[in-house]
Amino acid sequence: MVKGISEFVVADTTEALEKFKRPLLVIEGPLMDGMNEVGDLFGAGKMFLPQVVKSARVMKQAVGYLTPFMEAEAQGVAKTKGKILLATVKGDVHDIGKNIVGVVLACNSYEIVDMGVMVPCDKILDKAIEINADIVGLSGLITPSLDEMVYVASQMQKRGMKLPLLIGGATTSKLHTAIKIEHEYEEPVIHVLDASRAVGVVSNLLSEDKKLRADFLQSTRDEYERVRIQRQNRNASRVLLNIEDARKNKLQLDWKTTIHLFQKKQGIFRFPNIPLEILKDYLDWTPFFQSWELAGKYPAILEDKIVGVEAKKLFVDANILLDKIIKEKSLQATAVIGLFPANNIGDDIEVRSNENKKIQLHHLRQQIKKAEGQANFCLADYIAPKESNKQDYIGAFAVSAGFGVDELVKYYESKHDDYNAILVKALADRLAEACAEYMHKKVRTEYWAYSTNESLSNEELITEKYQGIRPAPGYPACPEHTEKQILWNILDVEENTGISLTDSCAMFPTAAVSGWYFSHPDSKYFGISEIEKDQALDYAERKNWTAEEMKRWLGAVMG
Amino acid sequence: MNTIELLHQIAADRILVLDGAMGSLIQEYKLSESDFRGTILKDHPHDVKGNNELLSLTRPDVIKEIHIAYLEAGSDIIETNTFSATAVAQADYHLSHMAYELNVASAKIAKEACLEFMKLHPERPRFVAGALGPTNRTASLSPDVNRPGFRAIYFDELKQAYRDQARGLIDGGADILLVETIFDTLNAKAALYAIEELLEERNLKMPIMISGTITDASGRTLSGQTVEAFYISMSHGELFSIGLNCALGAKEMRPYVQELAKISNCYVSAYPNAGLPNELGAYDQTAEEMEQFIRDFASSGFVNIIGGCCGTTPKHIKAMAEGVKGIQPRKISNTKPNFTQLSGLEPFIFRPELNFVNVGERTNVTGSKVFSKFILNNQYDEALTVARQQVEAGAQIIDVNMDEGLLDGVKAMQDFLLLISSEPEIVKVPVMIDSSKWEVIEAGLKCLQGKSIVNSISLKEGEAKFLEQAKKVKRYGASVIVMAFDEEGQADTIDRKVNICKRAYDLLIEKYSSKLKISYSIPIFCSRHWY
Repeated sequence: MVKGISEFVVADTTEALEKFKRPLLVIEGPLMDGMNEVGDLFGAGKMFLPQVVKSARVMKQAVGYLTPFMEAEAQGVAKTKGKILLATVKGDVHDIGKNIVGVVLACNSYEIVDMGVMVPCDKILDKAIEINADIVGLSGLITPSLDEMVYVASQMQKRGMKLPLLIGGATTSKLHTAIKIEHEYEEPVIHVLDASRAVGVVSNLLSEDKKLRADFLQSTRDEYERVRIQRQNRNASRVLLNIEDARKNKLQLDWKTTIHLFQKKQGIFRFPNIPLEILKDYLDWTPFFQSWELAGKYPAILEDKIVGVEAKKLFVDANILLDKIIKEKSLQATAVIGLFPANNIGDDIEVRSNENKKIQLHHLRQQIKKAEGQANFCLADYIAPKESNKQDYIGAFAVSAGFGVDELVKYYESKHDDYNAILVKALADRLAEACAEYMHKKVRTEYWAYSTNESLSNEELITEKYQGIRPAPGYPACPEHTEKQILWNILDVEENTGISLTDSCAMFPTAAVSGWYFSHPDSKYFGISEIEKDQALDYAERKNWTAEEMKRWLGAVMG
Repeated sequence: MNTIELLHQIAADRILVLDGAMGSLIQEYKLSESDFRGTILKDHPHDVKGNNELLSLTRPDVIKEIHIAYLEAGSDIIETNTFSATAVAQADYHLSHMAYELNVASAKIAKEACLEFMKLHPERPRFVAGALGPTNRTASLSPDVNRPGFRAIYFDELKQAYRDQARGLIDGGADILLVETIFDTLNAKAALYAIEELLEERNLKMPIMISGTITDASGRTLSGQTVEAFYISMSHGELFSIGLNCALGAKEMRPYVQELAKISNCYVSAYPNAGLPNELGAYDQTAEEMEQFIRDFASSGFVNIIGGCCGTTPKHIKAMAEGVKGIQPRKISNTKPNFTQLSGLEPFIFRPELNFVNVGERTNVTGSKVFSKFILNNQYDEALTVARQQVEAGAQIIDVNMDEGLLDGVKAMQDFLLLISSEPEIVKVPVMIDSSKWEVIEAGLKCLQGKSIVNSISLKEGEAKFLEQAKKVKRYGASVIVMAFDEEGQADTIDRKVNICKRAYDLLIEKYSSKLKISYSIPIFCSRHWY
């Protein structure tokens, strides 16, 4: 087969069938091994395309010979397990892989409707609806097909389709699916590496066991998230631009037509005692489990095969303790927020404080060389520049749910109950985050009130489906910690909440969150990751720092 | 001075610079379906977004801006926005009928951009290369694994599509015709045929540039030819340049450019992609990185024309243009020996040390009873085995003959040649198309991407017929055997043999260039039959 010689393939396949007994095992075993070998040789430049095609034809002959045996085997299992629509996307004529996938799936009692090659998006989707398909599978080999697949996914979303989408073919990859296709379509989008994986993927997707299906989808999504992060980290270690070029490539927002430059209330607002039962509804449990080194997303983690039992137990205990804390009011949550006029000057933001003083916020800009069409982000870009002559606004906040933690911890430690002592700290951290979420919502809907019609579930809040962001100094978008000192000044945080800053700009109590509010619809989180010395020097000058201070506060982001 | 002379003059002096990608710049405009439609296609029932060529009619401002950006970056030659402006490629959008119009409009925009730019910067001339893309179908490969003899497109349809495209480009004002991104040499041969026919009809001379694409890590075109086989298959054209573009980054392209530089008798061009696409299908090689590779091409003496393909921008072109400034262009060597060159997927050159050449004659219905039986019984698989055995046994060329009274010769020749084209082990060697009927020969020539041998033509139907067939053979890119036959019949005496051969030789030399290499077959039957 590797040499593309078809004369003996039937005899060889007969022999293989005697040895392996089941026709499918012959396909998935020696035949797929052969095709993989062909793939490897092609990749290494030791075969060229017409030879690959020739080998594929031999494979087809072998499969053709085996098909009647498989049909005989499949008798009694007459019912099909699902209907799968396959097509090579518009602009692409390659179908060897797709055909093999079709054969392998058909052998596993799935009904295959193969639309062939060069199939336009609309035809695929019309057909899927017409035949009531259970899954759509797209194939393509050339690079432009990748874009076409993204397009098909977006159209499936547009039509509100509900069936899973499979992506396959030589140039497709898990990474491309994760980064470019998955977010176009709400239903499952799965990259299928090769024909041998097709059966596993399809049987999971069409499984009647709801939990099996959910687990499969969750682990796929987690895996895609992992490759996305990996990619981000890898990108991070790439070429850096000089700061002038990075600034030239800043995010260009259209301030002429921006209409949300609006603020209902202005000034500083205190929330001295926020009821914990309200915050309970805003809890994001996933990081809670992470703090116990249990990997998985809430609530699926409770049913996880490996950590499910452990997670459930922890969850029950945490809720008992949480209810006790709420009832006894043994922790106090407090917050302060402020909304101020602001404009951007370069990479800085000039804020007019309550006392009508001009205060400068300093920001860093990404210097990683970006792909064409992607900007080098800096938080300051989300605020209207001075020269736009538009009055923009910025918000600031500091919240804590840590008051009372020390006492509680001491109480449990004195009873040698380390478990609950640790639980208290973890819960206080979660409550502080929940408090930040709650305050952010209040700001969006009542105070700044740029998003009054918002009605989002807690899951949607956790996945940040709202407009605007709240980046925190010391975190990826603004990794320099001393900006917290400015925040403390503007909001008079210590006076208003009791949260203090240590010399190294850590917050105390530790169960606290502070940061800035940006409302621009295009604002989103990003990471600065790495900066060049030129920006560090420029930043130091803006902050009036010594070389020593620069090293201390920017060392972590300087390459 | 005409364009060809002017270009030759410049090319002798310095390295010429092409432009870079069109598609990726268009993308940056983030155009919508309605931009693509304009008013002319307001009611067209199919989506046209992504049909970049259409923008020449609906958003000419965008296309012109891109041309100007490349001229500013330092391009001597800009390519028209016509990569897919053939009836074949436009079929995807149900716009085949607009192909000619698209080409005229695109060439006009490019020409306008050049003229305007030269008005402001008269110091050097700028040229418009009318781009003829590969279409989205291959004439040498079957898209259907089950039917290796099937083709989604055939020579004649391609030729017609290219003819319309070339006509539009010329009418719109293109200075050069550039057949590019050739992944299947047979497609390009159809283009070259159409162009030569058209230029002859209009009594025009235009510089023709050819650019192939190496797609495999094995260093072959998609249709399986090596670089040298590709060069030989294209060498019948009166080419200004030959080169490579697309699929590879400069780094990966280097060995193939080097090889072309060594063998080419015309100028050599290279316009690679901005590196290899990353896992997301995007190109991320920077202008600075790419410039280093291109400068290396130049200083190694490989190139006369450089530029960029997918993922390159005016920035890349600017860097390259500055990088190659002052570097001597490649010199065309006139000292290369003038051997007969043929090709299948691989080159076959009649070098002196070759001694004699084995032609496999078993795939000949008049020479092999077995083969004849297979063909008559429609047992093409078995017939293929005969061809494979010939090559395995050492045939350096295979002779295919379907002259049998009971056969439809045209169909049999076509079917068999298309089938063997899907057999890399057979078609790696050149084919000798053997027939006494011209229509069978011509049908065969339309199936083969390599440089074949026509066996044979003669003077038996007079000079006009002889010359016409000879011209076509050349246009299809084949060699030819001339039989010592004339109007009176077979050359039966030494005198007649000498006279007929001399007459044929003189006719061909007078009519066509002295580059021709002529083989005679003196009719002593079985002289060619070595089995």
